[in-house]
Amino acid sequence: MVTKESSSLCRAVGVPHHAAPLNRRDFIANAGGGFGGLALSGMLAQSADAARFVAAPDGHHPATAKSVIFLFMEGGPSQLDTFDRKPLLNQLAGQPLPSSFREPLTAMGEKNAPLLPTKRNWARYGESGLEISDWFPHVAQHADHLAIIRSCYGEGINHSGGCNLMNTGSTLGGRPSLGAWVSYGLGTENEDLPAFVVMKDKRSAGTNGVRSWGQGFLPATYQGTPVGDTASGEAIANLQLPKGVDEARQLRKLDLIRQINQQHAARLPNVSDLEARIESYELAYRMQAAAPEAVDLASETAETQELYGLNDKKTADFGKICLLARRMVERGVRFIQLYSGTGSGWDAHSGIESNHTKYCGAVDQPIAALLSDLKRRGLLDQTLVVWGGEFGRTPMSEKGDGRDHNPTGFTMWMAGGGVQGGQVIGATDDLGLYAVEDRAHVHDVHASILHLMGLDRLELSYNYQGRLERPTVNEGKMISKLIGA
Amino acid sequence: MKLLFESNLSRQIAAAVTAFFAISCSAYADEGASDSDASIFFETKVRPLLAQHCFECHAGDKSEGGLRVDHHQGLLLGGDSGAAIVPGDVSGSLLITAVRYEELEMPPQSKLSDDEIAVLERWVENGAVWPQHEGALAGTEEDLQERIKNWWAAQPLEPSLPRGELASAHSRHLIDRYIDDLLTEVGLQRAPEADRARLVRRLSYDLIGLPPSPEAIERFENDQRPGAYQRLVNELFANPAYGERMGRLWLDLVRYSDSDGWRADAYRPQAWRYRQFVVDAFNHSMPYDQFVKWQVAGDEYHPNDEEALAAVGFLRLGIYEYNQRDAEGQWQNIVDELTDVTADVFLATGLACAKCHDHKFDPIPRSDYYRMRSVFEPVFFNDWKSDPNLTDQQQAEVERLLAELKEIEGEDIHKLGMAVVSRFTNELQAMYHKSPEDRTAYENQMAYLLGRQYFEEGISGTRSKKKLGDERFARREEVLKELDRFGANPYSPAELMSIRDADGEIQPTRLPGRSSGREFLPGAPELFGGASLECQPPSESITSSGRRMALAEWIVSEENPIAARVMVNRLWQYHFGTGLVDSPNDFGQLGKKPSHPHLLDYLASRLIDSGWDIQAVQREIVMSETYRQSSMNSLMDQGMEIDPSNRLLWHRTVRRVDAEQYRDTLLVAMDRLDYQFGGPAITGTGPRRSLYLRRMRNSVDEILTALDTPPGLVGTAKRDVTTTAPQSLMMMNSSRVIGVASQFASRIRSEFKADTSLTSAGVSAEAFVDRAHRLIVGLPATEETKKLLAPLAESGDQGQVDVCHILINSNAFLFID
Repeated sequence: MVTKESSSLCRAVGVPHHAAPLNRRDFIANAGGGFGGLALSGMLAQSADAARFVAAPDGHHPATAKSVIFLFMEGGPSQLDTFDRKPLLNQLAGQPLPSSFREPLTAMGEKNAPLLPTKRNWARYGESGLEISDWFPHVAQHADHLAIIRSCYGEGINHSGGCNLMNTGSTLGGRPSLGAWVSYGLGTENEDLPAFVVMKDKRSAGTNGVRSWGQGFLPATYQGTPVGDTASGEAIANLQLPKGVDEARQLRKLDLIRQINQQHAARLPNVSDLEARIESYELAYRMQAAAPEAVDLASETAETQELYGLNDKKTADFGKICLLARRMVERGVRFIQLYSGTGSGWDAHSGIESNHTKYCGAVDQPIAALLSDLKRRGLLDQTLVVWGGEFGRTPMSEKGDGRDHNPTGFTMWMAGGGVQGGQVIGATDDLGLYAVEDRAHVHDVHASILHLMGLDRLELSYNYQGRLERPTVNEGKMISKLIGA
Repeated sequence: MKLLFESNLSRQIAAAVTAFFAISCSAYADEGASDSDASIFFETKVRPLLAQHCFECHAGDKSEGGLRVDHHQGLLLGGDSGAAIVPGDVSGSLLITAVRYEELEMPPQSKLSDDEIAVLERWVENGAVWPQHEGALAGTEEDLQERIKNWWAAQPLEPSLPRGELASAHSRHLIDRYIDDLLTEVGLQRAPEADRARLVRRLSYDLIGLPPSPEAIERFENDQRPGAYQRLVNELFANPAYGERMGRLWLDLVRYSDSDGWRADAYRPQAWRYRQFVVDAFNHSMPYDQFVKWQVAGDEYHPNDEEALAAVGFLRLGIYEYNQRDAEGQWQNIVDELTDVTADVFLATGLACAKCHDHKFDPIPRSDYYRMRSVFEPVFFNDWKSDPNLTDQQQAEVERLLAELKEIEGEDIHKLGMAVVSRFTNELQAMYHKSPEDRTAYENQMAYLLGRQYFEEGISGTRSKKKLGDERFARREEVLKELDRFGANPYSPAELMSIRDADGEIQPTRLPGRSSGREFLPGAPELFGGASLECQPPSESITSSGRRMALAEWIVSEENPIAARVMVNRLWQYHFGTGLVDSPNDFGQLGKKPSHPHLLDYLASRLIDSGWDIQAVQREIVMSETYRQSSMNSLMDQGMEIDPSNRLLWHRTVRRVDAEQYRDTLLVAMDRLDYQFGGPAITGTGPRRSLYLRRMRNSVDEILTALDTPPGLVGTAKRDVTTTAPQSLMMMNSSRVIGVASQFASRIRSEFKADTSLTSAGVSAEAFVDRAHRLIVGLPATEETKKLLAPLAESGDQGQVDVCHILINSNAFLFID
């Protein structure tokens, strides 16, 4: 927090500090510090709109997770070949879906496609004996930390609808993403970094582009910030000094901006927005220092880098963002979303063997490393790790050796952040097509993530156009088995 | 939160938050902590279930078998067969045995799912808690009528005159007298008129979205003749940039974008035609009633008028992409969205709440939603192309080319398309294969959605090329190019995204998932009289149902008190930052009440009486002394005590420039603005006004987004104004902004070089600073600013660039006072 005596800018540039405006300190106190406070003052400038703010910086109930790392396998990983073994699938291999199963509406609409057996070998892991396939041998070592939810379902049958639902709670566009709701609800622990960060395994737009981490109808303050996604190689857009501008010149400019803005504000002493903008340059300056440090892996030991698979081309991309995620958690970032297969990489309509061999291979070791690393640093207890895609895949084949989208029954898992590991929650039918037991809608998954973070899905609300909008569209409930209840 | 309540700034929040909780508490009134879960369970599980499956026959004025299930009493009293529930006794409750199909077998259409039955069982078992919501509908017809009678927005316009017995009532403007009435009550007075430089800047940004040039400011400052301000106002209204500015504000409201907004987010090459309609409508003073009619039903009024067909493109602006196997669900969503957006934009009435249940706070029964929805039941996407108007000779040539095309394609192209169609369910395929004249309206709607897949996925360029091989594909391309010359290429994109009614019998509008039961016909919401809409095929367009036309006529009819109120409130918001009703898209219970109800009604009457002349109302607003007042008031301390948020308008509220004003001003400062009016959206970030940059839903412009331009997925009635660190980083470090600073500086240097008087006088560093300041802030630099920045300007080119960059970051530029 900046003190009254001198600003970090002035300290850095060595200029004698001029008189601060009388209400500056008040302003900072008013704003409560951090981006949340600033957003609040920004909204206040729209007069009575403050009534729209019903966030809860202290949460609605005690939280077990301070941060979330959401591992998004974009394109839709197969549950049938990873975490949801179905012996019947292999017994009925090559036959059509038995008539006792309701015929699903599939994205590609291939009619009467035969059932595709899984080629995986399965084993039981840990004391809990969870059954996991040989596509996730490293993650399997953490079986006793995993709560595998085998009964997830939603309504998005194509990538756009599925990603919308998984990210925003609606298959249609326009609602705030879960990360935006969390940063709106809880603000940030570290005002020098964004509260909601998005990192991808490759520079590609990804399904739905920026909407996947958009703010929807919330103020733009709460949108996710892509990290490491700029052409210039900056961690965050516009972080680097402009070309040809050195530190001294930049600081001189910043200081002059401050001075003329203070002169300007003296004439209009009651306009809080003016102060907010003056303060935003302080924050920007601090972010400029904090963000590169947060993403600098040089200080990580060789052992750690090895653990995350940074030395192996196969795992390096996802490993890097997993390691960055851990660093973000350490620095108080609330919500971190990591994309594997950005741009529907996991979408194995054909050749699932080669597709999933590649993608599982790319994420297995890094995810396991992330869990180990969080654990040994004592962070796993307060960090919720969530794994899944926008949907799963069908037991029926597509194009002979692939699987179509399946939003009606798929697997996600959670670990850490107060989740009781070593358990399976819910079940799909005997072929893994429909969720049948302890069905968990995507809204339930979202409600659970919010709950573990201390937020209630109904109390967290925002008045948009006269409707109290809530993150799970008034639906969903905490999956209480996650905490062993 | 503790910190927040300890200061001035926070008192406002505290007050507002308290106000909010007053609302939210009324929603969950009388809930003990232990009842809270039960209430939530009821509201989230039980009520929706009852509403969806039972209300059709057992709610409101329907009480089949003497039973009402829309209030607790109704269930306890029961109907002809006795009490429907016995709290705590699951198997003794008729409701439960009926839904289990043990007796009575309810609902008759189909049994509830096991999960749903379990919900009801659990509810009865736990005592059948039915929270009594103070603010919610009790459900009886009498209550409904009572609540309608008491809701301000449903009342007829009542523009009673201002009292005006005050000293300041000498203002010629009625607006001022309404404002003064309330200010006097609290002991405040309006601020004096702002100085001329600030006034012209304010007015210019407001009406044309651009800053005035230093020369224009000077002209106005030196115009000592009477009527100088009036002349300025006239000049600005006459500027085509006025339509561009107003157009941008309207586009926010109607979720305008230039792209599809799903996964591929394809560019919509025709979308700009709607944008152009809006801009022209404002510039040509199209009366607001016509503006409404054309957007809701332009095709029914003028089926052969391109502009009217572009206007009804309002109904095509939502997100849509062909790639969706669930065509039926997709269409449901589209029609829902049309219902919601129409009610939001023209009626500021939250109908969407009533989609799944009676509105909890407003007197809007669920039937209102479905009556409104039925208006859009026959809607059909019309991908309109103009008639090529060929001579006989040309026609013959076209025939020849089409024959050649057919010969080249053989069955191959069609097969590609059909391969995609075959992925749909058999029912949908059957609809597609019917001949169009045998289809119902719904079948035509489905066939359209399948057809889009046929064209956009099935026979896409890549696929066609692969199928035909390079040589045949090239020949086909040639023929298509020839056909293009005659406007007869069967695959060319539409010229307009428009709307018409589908041919064929219109399916009845029913509750979701129903194929029998209650049917809804077009009608106005109960809140506004609830009249049935008389739908006749329009004389101009006899194949159309006339439903949308009937709705449009009703929206702007005398029976409807809200349309004019909603629009003048938007205009007020455009000029003051906050509407008289500070919830521009919600005039319901969760919205705000008007700060000046009589003024609102006066302006609404003015709008109607002037023949729905938007400019007439705007002129009256900007001519008022209230609009022209300074942001400084000598009673600042009292004012901040009494009305810190300035709802009573005792001074001018300082506003930040919006995203487009910011970027457009940068172009002006560089002297680079390419002032070309209208036309298709441009790619990239060329020097056209921001209005003309392509708005892509999935990839947004960095500068505009940082300053809160809306993403265009849902309508935005009021933009957020946020202040963030990434925004400041953008303004400090983005190469685009740095480039602006550099060109801004060169522009001033070259001006000075060209201006011999300046050169001969010896251009001082202070003169540079002053010129830069005048260009971007519209005011001369203060002595302090000159002193601060002159040394930099003195230091050479780089320093001058920095001066410009600093001013681009200045609050003096970013805020309009």
